[in-house]
Amino acid sequence: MGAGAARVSTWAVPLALVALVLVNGLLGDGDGYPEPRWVTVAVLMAASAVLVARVARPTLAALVAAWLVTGYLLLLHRDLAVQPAFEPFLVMLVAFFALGLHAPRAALPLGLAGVAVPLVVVELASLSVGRSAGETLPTLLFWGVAFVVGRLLHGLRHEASTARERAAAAEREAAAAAAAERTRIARELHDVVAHSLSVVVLHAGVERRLLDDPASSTARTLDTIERTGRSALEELRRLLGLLHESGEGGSLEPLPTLGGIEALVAPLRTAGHEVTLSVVGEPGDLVGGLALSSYRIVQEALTNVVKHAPGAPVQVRLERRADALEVAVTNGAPTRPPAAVPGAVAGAGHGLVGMRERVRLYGGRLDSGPLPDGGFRVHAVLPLAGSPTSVEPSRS
Amino acid sequence: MTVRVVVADDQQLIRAGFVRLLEPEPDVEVVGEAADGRAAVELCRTARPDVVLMDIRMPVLDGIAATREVTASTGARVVVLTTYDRDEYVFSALEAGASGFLLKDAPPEELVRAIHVVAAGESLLAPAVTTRLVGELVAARARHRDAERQLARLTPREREVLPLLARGLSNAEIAARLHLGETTVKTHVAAVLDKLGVRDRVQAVVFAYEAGIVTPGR
Repeated sequence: MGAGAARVSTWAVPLALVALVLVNGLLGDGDGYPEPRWVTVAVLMAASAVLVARVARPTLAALVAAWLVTGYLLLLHRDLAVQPAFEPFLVMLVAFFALGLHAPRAALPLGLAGVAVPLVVVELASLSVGRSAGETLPTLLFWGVAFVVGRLLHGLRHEASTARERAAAAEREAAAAAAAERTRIARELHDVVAHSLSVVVLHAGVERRLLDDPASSTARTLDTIERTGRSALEELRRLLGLLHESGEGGSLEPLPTLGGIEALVAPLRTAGHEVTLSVVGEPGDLVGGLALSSYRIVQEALTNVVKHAPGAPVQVRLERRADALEVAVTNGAPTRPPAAVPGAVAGAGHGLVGMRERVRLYGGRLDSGPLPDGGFRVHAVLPLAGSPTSVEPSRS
Repeated sequence: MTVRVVVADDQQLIRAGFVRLLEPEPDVEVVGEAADGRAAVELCRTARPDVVLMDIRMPVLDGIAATREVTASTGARVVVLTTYDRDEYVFSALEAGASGFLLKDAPPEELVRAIHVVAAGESLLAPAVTTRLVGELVAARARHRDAERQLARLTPREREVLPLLARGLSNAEIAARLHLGETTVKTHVAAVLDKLGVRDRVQAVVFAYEAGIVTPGR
């Protein structure tokens, strides 16, 4: 049922009941509508009309309806041995259903008591003055069923909305994680660039100083390189100041390189993992953002192994081919149950989010997923289009 | 006198740049290179340099810790050379005993001069760092002067109340300390807040600390 349909039924159902009361009360044979007939019609119309409020104020609407119907039975209809009009039964059917569907949990006990007790008392009283149980009990039974069905639907709706909220929260969290990861990547890459630029400025300045003729065109070109590089570095420092989280101290460690991959797996060996590290094609020579990103991918993958597959054997493979760098971290099934940390799954998502961002940056691809043996595999391929390799400076 | 220099940086290209800059200098001799802080400390113990050009972000042992060890255990003086002039770096470098703080992209002339200045026993900071630190100092002094102007408006009694207030004493405690009635203290406190133009007691405490009326730990 759509929200629009729900809004229409909010006033359409009471309207139909009001119309029913009008037609039966004024045009009918008068059964169940004792004199003064217009008072009876007015009371039952009021009991129907008040149901418009059953969504916004379910308990109040049901209470008013119940007491108007009770008033009708005791003060207008009076002769409990005779069958009353059908409309009050319908009104209360809707009221009980709405009470179940819309009332908040806290309001239920008192609300239900206030609504049901007078009606049940009147119905049981009518039983004692000669009405058959076959007429009285089904009425109570229908009301009860209406309430229970309403309550069950309430539960389903509540569950659906909780699931929606949870999904939305997870989505927000993933977006925030991706944004945080992007900031981190930006920070690291600017750091890489700043270091490279320092090398450029230093060497340009040194060569300029070593030239015999400071007015030569070579000296002027080197001077331009030096100045341009220096002002670019100033801008980079400003930008990095912005990207650094406030209050975060300056790191004292250099940015890692793929040469440090051995040190990355060492803690896992200490933690009891059997680690196989295979490095093919000297990827350790790679420098710059791509090497750093590959290092981070391995780092995140290993963090996930420690978190989700304690004790599992791990294979780390780095292969530098002519056109691409391939990174694969594969683990077997955990040998110990993973520590049940709340949010551990979200943490895993975080790691994969970061890996995906980094791979995307270099136009590579990432496959990750569980393996049939209970393990997990992360596999990334990063294209090496003219990626820089560290070179010895010419010492002419 | 020839200045003996050690170059410590994990980036080979940076070391090469410094070495190439210093080799032709007549009164500078590069006596060794180190790629991490630990190696730099070892090298300083054996090579006995006068000046060490020290990077901050290095593997094994960072440049700050290495500076601390070098200045403590050898006669060498340290010029810290980094890519970033972040305040944390400047302060921890100076605290560790560095005599100079420069950026790696400083003009080569400045780097050469820094080596001689530091070897002669003086200190040297990157111009940008100096400007920033002086700016902060000037601002602090200006704040201090403003504070003094406002303090001059306090009566002697109110000037007695403020430091007690700044140490977190309640009106009743201040009254007991100064042998005054609590109502009188209340009036004084209100006058202090009003004259200093501060919103509440907490702001008055901040003012007192900034003005140097009270210092932490006293």
